[in-house]
Amino acid sequence: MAVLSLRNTKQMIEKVELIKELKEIIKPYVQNQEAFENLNEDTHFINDLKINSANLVDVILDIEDKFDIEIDNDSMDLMSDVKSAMTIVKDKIAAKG
Amino acid sequence: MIGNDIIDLDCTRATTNWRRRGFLLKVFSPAERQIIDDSEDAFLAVWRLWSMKEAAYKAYLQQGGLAFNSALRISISIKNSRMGTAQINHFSSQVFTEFSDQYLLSYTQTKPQTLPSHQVFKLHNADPQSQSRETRKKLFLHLASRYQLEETELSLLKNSQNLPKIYFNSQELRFDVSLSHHGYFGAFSIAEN
Repeated sequence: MAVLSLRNTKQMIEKVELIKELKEIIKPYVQNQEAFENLNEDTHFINDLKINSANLVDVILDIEDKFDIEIDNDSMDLMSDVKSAMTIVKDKIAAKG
Repeated sequence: MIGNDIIDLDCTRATTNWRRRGFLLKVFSPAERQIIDDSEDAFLAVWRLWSMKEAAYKAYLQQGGLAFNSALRISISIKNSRMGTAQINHFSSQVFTEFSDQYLLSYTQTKPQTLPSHQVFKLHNADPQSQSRETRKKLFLHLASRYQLEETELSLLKNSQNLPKIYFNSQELRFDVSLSHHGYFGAFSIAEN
């Protein structure tokens, strides 16, 4: 049990770290500051944060640079909110080995 | 169905660096990048192609297409200085672009012989909430005068696909609209059914 909860704690810390890093990337492109301040996993990049579609490309490029990963077309199509971005980043980092 | 997209040229200059490494590769096919390379003004070519893609995407959603993010799924071919064709899977549409010193506006034409009517106007404020409010207001004023309707009875609701539908009282009006705003410019386009 102790081991299990330790692992859960580690995952939670990683998750919090990842949200923090994504927030930092998204920040310059946000047009709705209120939604940004209340950002959570369900926050939608376009509908909530009002990031324009050209800047969404910037977000993708910044994420690629920051984590040294490549986000292909299919992944880009899935990347609509914070949660999906976190999943994609985690999967791509894991795939790097 | 109708799709439009307006680009405020000063705004896009200030907020998007299309020359950054990787940007064009994420958005344009080799053929489209060739159009940009061959153009006299790369900046205008980039944003013309971009707005054509956006306009076509909106029309594609209106006819029931599924949402996506990757601009590479839309392919553009250019016919002349103001018209081209956009293709998304099996959907295809002619797209026209109007240029001014300050903005460019692209809009689709999916029915032959009937060009949509549209209007471009300056906005007082560039924050998204008031952009959207002002753009709707302009559309309502136009519809009220053209169809002799009471402006206060008009409303716009987004359906489950996030597409705009116009209502008079509670009755849905039978035409397709597309609204766009960017920076200090707004536009609407209407296709009558």
